[in-house]
Amino acid sequence: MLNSQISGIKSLFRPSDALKGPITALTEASSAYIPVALDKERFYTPLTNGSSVSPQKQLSFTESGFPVYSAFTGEVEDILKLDHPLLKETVAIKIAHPTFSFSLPAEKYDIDSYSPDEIIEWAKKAGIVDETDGERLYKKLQRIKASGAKILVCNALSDTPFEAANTALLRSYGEAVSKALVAASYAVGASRCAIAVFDGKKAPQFPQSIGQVPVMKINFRYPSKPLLDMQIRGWGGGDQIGAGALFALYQALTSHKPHTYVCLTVDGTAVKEPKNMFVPIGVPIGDVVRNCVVSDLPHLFVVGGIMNGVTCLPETPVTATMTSIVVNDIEKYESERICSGCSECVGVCPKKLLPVHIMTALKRGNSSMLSLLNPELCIGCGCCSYVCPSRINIMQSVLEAKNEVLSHTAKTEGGSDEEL
Amino acid sequence: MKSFNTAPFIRLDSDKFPKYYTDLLIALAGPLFMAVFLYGVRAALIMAFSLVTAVFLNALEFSVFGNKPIIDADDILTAVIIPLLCPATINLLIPCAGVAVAVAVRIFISNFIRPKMMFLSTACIGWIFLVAVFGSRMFEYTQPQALTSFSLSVTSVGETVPSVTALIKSGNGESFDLIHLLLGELAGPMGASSPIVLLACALFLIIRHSAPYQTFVGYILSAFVCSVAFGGVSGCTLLTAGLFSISGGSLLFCAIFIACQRHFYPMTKTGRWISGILLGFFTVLLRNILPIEQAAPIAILVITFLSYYIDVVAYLLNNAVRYVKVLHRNRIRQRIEGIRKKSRKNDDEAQEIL
Repeated sequence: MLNSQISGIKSLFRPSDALKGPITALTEASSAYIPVALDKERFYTPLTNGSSVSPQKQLSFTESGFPVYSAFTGEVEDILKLDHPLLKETVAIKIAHPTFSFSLPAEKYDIDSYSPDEIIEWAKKAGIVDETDGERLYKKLQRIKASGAKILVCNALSDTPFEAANTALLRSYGEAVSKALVAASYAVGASRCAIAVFDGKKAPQFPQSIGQVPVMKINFRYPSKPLLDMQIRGWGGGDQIGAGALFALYQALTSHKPHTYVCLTVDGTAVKEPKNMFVPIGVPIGDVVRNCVVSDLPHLFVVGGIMNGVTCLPETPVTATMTSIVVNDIEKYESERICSGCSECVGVCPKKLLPVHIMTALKRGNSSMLSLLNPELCIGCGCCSYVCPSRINIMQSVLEAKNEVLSHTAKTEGGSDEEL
Repeated sequence: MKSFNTAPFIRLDSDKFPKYYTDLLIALAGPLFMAVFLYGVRAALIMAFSLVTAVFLNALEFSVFGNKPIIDADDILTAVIIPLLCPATINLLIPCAGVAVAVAVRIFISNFIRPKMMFLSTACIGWIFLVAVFGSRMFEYTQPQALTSFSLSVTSVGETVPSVTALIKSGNGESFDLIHLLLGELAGPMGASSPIVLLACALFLIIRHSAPYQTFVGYILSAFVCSVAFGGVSGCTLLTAGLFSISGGSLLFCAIFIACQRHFYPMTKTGRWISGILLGFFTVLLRNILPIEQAAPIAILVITFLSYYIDVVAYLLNNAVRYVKVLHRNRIRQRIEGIRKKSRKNDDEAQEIL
């Protein structure tokens, strides 16, 4: 009731059963859709229908030279517009009956032989995207370098239910992740680096350090990312990078392999045998789930994390930012009820916003009130929706309000520029 | 397929009867018991009639709109609160009419108003409706007599006595007796029983985190201060007048069971303090202005209607305070850095000299 006065949610972490087994790899898929036009940036695709694709072959690139690769061998069947719940509308290449195989490449190059600029350049050449925030790694490294960071932290927290990919990756390939973290720290000029993992009785255990990097055991409330950011600011400034992106950076530096696979967890109330898997980017999530034992009940597929992700169709392709696919029984879902005014959403908001009032202002169309309530500060963690006893999807309304306020601000600024 | 966020559906505990309602119903057992103790079995009968009305209307709503009844037990609470705001002499069916109006308003808001949100105290609306329709019959109070009336008959209307609030309004404090006050043996609504029992209920709800202490404490303190400041009661000390002012009538009962209902108080801590203080002020003000004896339900209805705006004001205030704090912290940091730079300079100069 009124006791959730400290921001965030306590004890949300529960280890996924997927951590019990090793990380496996997906071996077959019916088709693949590779998004080639991310964001609003202009991409160039030298391919047409019938063109052959193969691993290591660049499928498209931006004006700034950021590339897109695929893990598949096959032929382009179509170039189409794809409505992806995470990427929104994007252009994708469809490959019918793709063949692929996952293997860890042999280490051909010494990771310590790169200069800082070369490390950042390879993060760009390999097309690596950080799964924690969707930012391109090379841009992120450049930004961190420019900010004069003191510390770089590897985020392996996996703090939501049904998600354990980063933890599994650190457990199985800890050395590789720590080496990549040291290289990234060197690239950005940070004097310290650390790996952040969850602490607690139920959390998987890690040694005091992996390679040369110390392991920080922390027990934050959910959402851990902004709280870790606050902690990092307290240490003199810096940033955090996901374990998945660091693993991709390690492969790029040691074997010049592009970022074509992601490690993700398949779990949920409908999944009987949860797994952590290496999955090529572009495979439909339905094909991934088919590799796990699921119940016969109707399913609901959720991508982007159970707390702040969205539901999607089985045809939705895997993207570089995915760390989990949650498959839940659809029968456990019920409609929202009337708001009881319990104020739990206000108590847990990590940004100290008034989520329910933002929702009310949005639904009443009161834009002047909206601008007072600062919905643009929302980080979309989903705490408000999670704690709501009436199961109202507050987060969605707050994000809508955020978009409205941001677009209104952009319009106003655009207008004033024109006037000037 | 429309994408939607799944966070509201991870928890599977929402079907349980919410702890908040259980706590409130347990707490209401206190004044309910006192009402039966002081006014006889008839008090329980009035309550039973009201409850049947609420359950019947809930079932009707379920058959028409398909809404899950009872889970959010607002109507049950309303059906207990409205009779407790009435005198013991009231006709059995009158509180039922109030409950029917209150439930009808709740049904209208939850089915036809968007966003689905309660922003009015339906119990207050039901009570105001009764006052508007039945007028003086809502204020025909009788002298409570513990354990004396176990029959279903009620003291006749002719034996009505002025309530504490009426005495305060008339400025007559000569008959105020603290022992009678503590035992709840003062004329007033059925729920205006012993302040000890009511305070115990408040404590229970606050300890269980089912009521915010900010609204309650703010309300009581502000009502006390305002009633002392307004003064005008002769024949007793200012302290006694203040105590009677907050304990007599329905003020204390309303402060616990209506003002602290989760639908109506603001969501921010600062907002709760503001609303509590405003409630106390408005209750005493309306009590002195309006011709009716009980002003608390009207004050609560007015202030709870403003809860949303109070929250916005509190949010802006908190932001301003945070901004000033950050500004202050940065200034201190700059000063410390300046001092450090100076001392470093001095050290360097000293070393150069050496």
